[in-house]
Amino acid sequence: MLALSIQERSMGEARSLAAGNASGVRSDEAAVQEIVRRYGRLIRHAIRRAGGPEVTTLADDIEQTVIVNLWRQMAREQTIDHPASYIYRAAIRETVRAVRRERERAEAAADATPGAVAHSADPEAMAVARQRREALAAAIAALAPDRARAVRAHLGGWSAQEIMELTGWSYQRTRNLVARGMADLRSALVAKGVR
Amino acid sequence: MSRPRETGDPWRDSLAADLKALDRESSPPAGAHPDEDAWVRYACGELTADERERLANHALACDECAAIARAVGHVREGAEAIDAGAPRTSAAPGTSAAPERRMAVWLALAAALVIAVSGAILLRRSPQAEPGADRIVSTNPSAQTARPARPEPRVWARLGDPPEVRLPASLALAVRGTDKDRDEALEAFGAGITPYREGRFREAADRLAPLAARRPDIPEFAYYLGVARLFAGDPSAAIEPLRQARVSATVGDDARWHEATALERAGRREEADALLKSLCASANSYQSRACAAAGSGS
Repeated sequence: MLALSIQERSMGEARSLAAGNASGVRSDEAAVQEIVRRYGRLIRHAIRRAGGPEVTTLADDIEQTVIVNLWRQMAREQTIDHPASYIYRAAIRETVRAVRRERERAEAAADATPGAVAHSADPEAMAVARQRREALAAAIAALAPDRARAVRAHLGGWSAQEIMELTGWSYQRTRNLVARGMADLRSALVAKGVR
Repeated sequence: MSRPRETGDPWRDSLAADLKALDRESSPPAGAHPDEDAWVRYACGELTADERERLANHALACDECAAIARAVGHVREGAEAIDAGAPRTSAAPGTSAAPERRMAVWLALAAALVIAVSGAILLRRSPQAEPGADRIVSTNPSAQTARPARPEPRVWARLGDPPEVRLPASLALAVRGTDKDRDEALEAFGAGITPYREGRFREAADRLAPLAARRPDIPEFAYYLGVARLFAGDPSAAIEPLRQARVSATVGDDARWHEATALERAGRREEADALLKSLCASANSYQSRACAAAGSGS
């Protein structure tokens, strides 16, 4: 349904553009079109990797939406002097929007799922879990800032390569911060009786 | 959307789950979500050090922005291959593009918009579209004859962490020649492997290339040259040195796995599949991964 509504809106835009510009085909066109298509596929893959398996079923719609939106963004510009750079920047914007859109959709779906209400656990177990989490928060807060960032990233499932990209750290620095931060964290938690 | 990966380390996994729960319970991280402009500037390397630090701190504490950072990272990684085939429609630096030319580009883009959207609609409604075929295919004949796009690498070929540096214990003996030859080779290797360890793979590749050419008798040199090129985003150039390194008793299996990865990322999928099957068929440290990759098709 999402893709259909976009197509319907795009049809009107396409007609109005066709009326004014149907003769403007140049040799650049196929190459630019090919780049846009490849970016559409690239964003689709990126969203799938970042979003996990639940996004897979919507991958085709994502790619479709991305391509149409990329063309729309390009259609709003008067001139484009550097198409490759322009499309790359547009693709990043579209990636940000697509991730946010998919998260909203996933949250809405989770809210609408019957039985999604959290089960209440044993109060004693909940209290123990709460203490563990508080100890973890305190231990991370006590780490040196860069070690805390590295530990957060490591526990969040980020690879060294991803951490390097995000922070600009070198590979060696990333590995050291993660290793030392995790060692500090373990010591701090053990000292608090968390094992 | 993003979730901690299970590592098989129960202590670490339980901490990861606790941290996720903490982030869910706590108020949103300090500062607003980075806007689209900030992400574009991040992806283009245009943020100042302070801005980048703020963005990184936020992304590490915000599930949504963590997912965005990862997705943007994937796009940035894949963009190099696309940009390599990008059209050069702009004027050369230092000259100004004629207004008519820029208008012509715009007209071409507008016409392509018509074609792309119309083609999308036609295909979307066509019951004859083949399963797995591209959902959007141009109806423009010139686009249909364009050079086929390199397929996106499959999931198994994603680059994780670069391999640790491992050398055969007998390397010093294996470097034949005089003591001077040996010392020079090891010193040159050290100069190349330092940037490798620090994640400066392009520099590492540049330094290792002459060494690997000079000492083809040491396959480990070729291996780290190949891996450096692979991680520097040049999989095509990584293939040959990795192939040479297959004979290494120390990193031979690693060389074959990374060669398959380089082939896949270079768009040579059939050769990558053949190598995966060969890895899958024999006992080695990559066998299970190779079998999974060969069987999954993704």
